Amino acid sequence: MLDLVLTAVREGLLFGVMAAGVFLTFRVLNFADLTVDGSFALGAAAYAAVLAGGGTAWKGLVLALAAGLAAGAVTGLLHTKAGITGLLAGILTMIALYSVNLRIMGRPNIPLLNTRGVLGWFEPLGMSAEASAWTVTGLFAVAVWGLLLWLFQTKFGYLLRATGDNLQMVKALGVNPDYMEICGLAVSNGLVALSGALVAQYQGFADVSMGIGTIVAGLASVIIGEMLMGSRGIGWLLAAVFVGTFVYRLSIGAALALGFAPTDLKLLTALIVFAALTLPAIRKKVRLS
Amino acid sequence: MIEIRDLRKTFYRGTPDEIQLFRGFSMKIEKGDFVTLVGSNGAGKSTLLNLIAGSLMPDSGEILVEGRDVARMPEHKRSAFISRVFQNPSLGTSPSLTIEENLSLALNKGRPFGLGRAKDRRRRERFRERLAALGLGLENKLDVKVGVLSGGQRQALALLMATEVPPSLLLLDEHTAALDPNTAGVIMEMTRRVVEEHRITTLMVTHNMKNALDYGNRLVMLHRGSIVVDLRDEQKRGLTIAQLMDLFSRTSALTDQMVLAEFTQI
Ligand SMILES: Nc1ncnc2c1ncn2[C@@H]1O[C@H](COP(=O)(O)OP(=O)(O)OP(=O)(O)O)[C@@H](O)[C@H]1O
Ligand SMILES: [Mg+2]
Repeated sequence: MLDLVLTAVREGLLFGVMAAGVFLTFRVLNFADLTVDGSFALGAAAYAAVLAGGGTAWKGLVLALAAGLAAGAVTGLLHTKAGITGLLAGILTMIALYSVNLRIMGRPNIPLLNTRGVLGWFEPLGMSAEASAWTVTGLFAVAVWGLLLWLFQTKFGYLLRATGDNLQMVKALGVNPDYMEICGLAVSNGLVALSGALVAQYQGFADVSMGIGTIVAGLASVIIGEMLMGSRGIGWLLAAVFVGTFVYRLSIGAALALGFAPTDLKLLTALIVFAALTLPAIRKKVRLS
Repeated sequence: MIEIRDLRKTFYRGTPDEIQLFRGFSMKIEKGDFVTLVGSNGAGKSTLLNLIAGSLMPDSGEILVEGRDVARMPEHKRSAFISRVFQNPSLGTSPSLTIEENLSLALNKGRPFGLGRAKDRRRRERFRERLAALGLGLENKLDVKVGVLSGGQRQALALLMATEVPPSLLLLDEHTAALDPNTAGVIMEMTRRVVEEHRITTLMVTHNMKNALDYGNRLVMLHRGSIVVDLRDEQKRGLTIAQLMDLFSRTSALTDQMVLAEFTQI
């Protein structure tokens, strides 16, 4: 039982970085971005390819982040410059990334079992493998939370939030809204790719299909977090994303413990998102009548 | 000064629905002028404002703002010196941001939105004063999300934001038309105050004949993309609502050919 919870905490922190990226597009920019299914695996692919080639974990993470930024920017360009609807722009990038990821990895799967990689950063300081992995995971989650919190207090961050609200106002402020959208999508997918790299290291391999369903898991995390924690300012909302991811991972873990097959999980996830999306509306109706 | 020269704009060119709206439109607006623009539905008032602001591009012609031709400049670049308030109060503000956050964005208009901290204690006091001057009780709602404000409160905020950095030209497109008469009056008075305070050159579209007469120093009536009445200062002050209504109904009956012939004498 404790094991189940601890695993969910750790996965909540790792996948929470991805969910924070989804929060940025879905909640802030008002953009349902399907790129994340591709960029999650992209981050894992870039990271694993670097490590398999003998590179350092640092280099792997930086490349994963950069690749994610680029992938988000591509979706942004498809949407703003080529005039493709947001949903379709994301799907196009996602599908293209499947081939790109295979190219990067050179094969469908790269094992990372004989290296502790990024999670082993603190082992040279005398920490156990377990303690080091926890510390690294915690640091990344806190850093991402802090970075986004800071970003949302800047002028750029204010404008990013306005972009999801009112494009006309962004223009009136003298800024091209296309630029804001491309930036937001880039940052979001950068985070998703970073999360993909961390998850690859955590599970011990990168796989070309590991991104499937990421967007739905991310949405589930964001929505569950909002439902449980409500809204009390942007710092709170960002923390809620991590809490939501934890609860989501916990329910997945519990489902597995109850004997569901891993292949049933996508259906379960879809059901959770469905419930999370409809519950608030149903509750409102019940209260009104 | 704003000068529009030989502006042309046709919609649906080459189709049976073709509308030749502006066929060599020219107009000069002196610095500090407050022009009220009237005309029947479809006269081209909003289109003119869209062309000036850059949300529509003209087929040809020049739009000079203080000597610079902006006719082909993208909309977001023009907003550095042209502000607009729309009929729809939602278009001027960001609902998920607080009043303070909206105002601090407006204060940075036309400058880069970088990674500097957006909030500033001293500014908060200034915002409070500006809001208090409106008399709508907004000064105590700095941390309230704009989405929960009424249309009138939002429009007041939109006007404040449009003039926080005084523009070279302020465009108002029926900006009180969606408000109740009382709130509309408040917003109109506020408009007069900010325009006078900063001597902002203003072009205001209205269907309210009384407002068209009461506000501004020049009245222009548009009909099918042409100016048919243009009165300023004493001439405008001497005009009564009855006379204006009469002009209005006479122009509405006119065809394009008659427009110029009949009204050049006025
Ligand atoms: N983007 C557009 N595409 C096609 N036609 C347009 C467009 N904008 C305006 N028009 C046409 O131009 C004409 C003038 O419209 P406009 O909105 O400028 O009138 P208006 O004077 O503002 O009228 P109202 O008093 O109803 O607001 C109308 O016939 C309209 O259909
Ligand atoms: Mg109009």
